[in-house]
Amino acid sequence: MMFLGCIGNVLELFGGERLLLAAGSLLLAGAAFYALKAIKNTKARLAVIYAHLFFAAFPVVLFSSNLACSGMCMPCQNDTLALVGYAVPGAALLAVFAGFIVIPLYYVRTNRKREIASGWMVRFVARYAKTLGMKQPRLYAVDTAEPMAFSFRSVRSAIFVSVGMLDILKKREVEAVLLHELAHLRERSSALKFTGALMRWSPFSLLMRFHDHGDEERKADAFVIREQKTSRHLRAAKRRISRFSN
Amino acid sequence: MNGDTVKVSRIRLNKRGLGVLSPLETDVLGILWSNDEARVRDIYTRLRKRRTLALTSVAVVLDRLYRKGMVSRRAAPGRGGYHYIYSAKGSRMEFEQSVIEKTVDRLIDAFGPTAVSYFHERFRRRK
Repeated sequence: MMFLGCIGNVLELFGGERLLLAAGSLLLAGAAFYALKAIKNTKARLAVIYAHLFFAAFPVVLFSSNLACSGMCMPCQNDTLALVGYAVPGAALLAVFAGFIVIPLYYVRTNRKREIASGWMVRFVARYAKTLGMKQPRLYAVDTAEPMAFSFRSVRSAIFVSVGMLDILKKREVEAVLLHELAHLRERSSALKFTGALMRWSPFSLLMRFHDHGDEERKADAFVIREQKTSRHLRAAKRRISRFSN
Repeated sequence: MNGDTVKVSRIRLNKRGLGVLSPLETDVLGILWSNDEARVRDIYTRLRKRRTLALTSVAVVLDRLYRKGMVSRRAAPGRGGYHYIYSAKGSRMEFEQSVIEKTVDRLIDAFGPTAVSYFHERFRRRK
């Protein structure tokens, strides 16, 4: 059969150095997963999540590449170095895409006990989601004192606000933050484009500032000012957040 | 005397700052010691009567005390979502005892027999 190509001994595909590399990679994936529990810093957690996804994907891509090379009788068959050359970028790419699905689900899962299911915040978000013509996102409180807010539009839209932020902001300031996140969600409702905001959750964002004031940030701020008819609450919220971080 | 130098200036020995805490940390802990638990805003409201400070400063101090292991906190639902409720770990006396222990241990490590002899003499005079 053409598909089988040059696959002679199937066990050889998974043997030798490749098996050791795969085992090592899975061990590192496990270690990263275990380490996640101890890490509180958001950027560090993102880094570890992506590391975990990369190391988990690496064996899959490694063996798949070898299978493909063997099936097509290519020189890379059982050539560990060449296969690693394919597997590293392949696993990285897989990790990035998985991250856009895994990371939102991860945050929803770890914060589901603190879903804000009722109250003025929910009513506020519901009202504006309706006005903006979008499905009402879920609201979650993240268990950290660091004041921050972020949102995802993945499987289902969600806005996350830290408990620390709710502790230090006044009502109108919280509303400003929610409007800001709703604006981000609205912007992402167009085709799955890798905007600056989405890239916030990609591995590349680790090289950039967490609060990168790109075009999307300015648009979201403009939306807040338009809706609240003042920039006062947004500026006050940013001032308080900045004071906490300094 | 051994090679280590005890930085006595870092140990503030007046009641205003309890040894290793800043004045604001001391005030915040003082409120938690008097009440079982309190929210950031509750502590800020009480402290504002005695001094000028920002709500964020209280939040920062509470987070710092939490990281030092001196207070515990839990996220509780309430008006406006979730808020942290802080409580002190241990009593004021336990904290003071801990500071005294560490200070005395450091003095003994640094000055050895001289320190021991001083403490012995001091306690003898108090009797």
